[in-house]
Amino acid sequence: MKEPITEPKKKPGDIDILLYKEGNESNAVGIECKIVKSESLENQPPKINKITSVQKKGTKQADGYINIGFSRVFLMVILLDDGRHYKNPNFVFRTTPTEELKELYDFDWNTKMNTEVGIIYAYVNQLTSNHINQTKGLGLRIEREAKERIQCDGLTEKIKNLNY
Amino acid sequence: MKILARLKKTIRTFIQKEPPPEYEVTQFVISDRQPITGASKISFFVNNPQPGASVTRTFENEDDVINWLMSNADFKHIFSKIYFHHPLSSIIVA
Repeated sequence: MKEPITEPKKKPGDIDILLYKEGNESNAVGIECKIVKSESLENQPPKINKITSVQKKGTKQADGYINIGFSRVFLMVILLDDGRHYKNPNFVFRTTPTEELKELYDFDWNTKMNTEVGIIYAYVNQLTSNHINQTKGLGLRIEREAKERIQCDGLTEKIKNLNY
Repeated sequence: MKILARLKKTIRTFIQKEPPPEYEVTQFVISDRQPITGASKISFFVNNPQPGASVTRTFENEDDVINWLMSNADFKHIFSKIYFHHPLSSIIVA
């Protein structure tokens, strides 16, 4: 979603997820999403990309959500984890080991991102060779709650005027 | 009150397009919708000899991932339960 919630040529370029209860538009939640990809390889460490980009772009864009005036703002990091080549015989555990994702989890969100922004980690795990729509692992963790603020009146009006 | 609650539950179940999941949703969910018909020679537990596409390449861009997640009944269920503590059906996702 872009206009009327966002303004042209201003951060964030768009709103990834907007959540609100009908009749309670003054408590809307804006969620900026960033994707990290991890791919298991035969007899090699997993190939993980976009972590630095997530940290740099995600923090800046989340600031943009704060400026728009949402009641609560989250940065949701979505990990697409292809675990098909991990050797664990129990497919449920074919996920990227935590130590391989230290760069992501050890990021100093507290000093490098607005402390009002909450952090959500979402996981999509491909555990077998089936298509992701067929067999998958899903995980969700709210790492840090967003600080609730009084929402900007202008934003509330814009949300009320959306046709959903 | 109990009768009213039961009636509400019956109506909700009737309206739902998909049957409710038969597992208890916790912070981590494993979902499998592969029908067990015996027609497939590929075991659920053994790697497919002709592996499909990696999930890292299934979606063309970020928006595709977000749209897939937010339209996924399992994810929505977890998301609403953990964060909002009530069904996402009462929340508008835009």
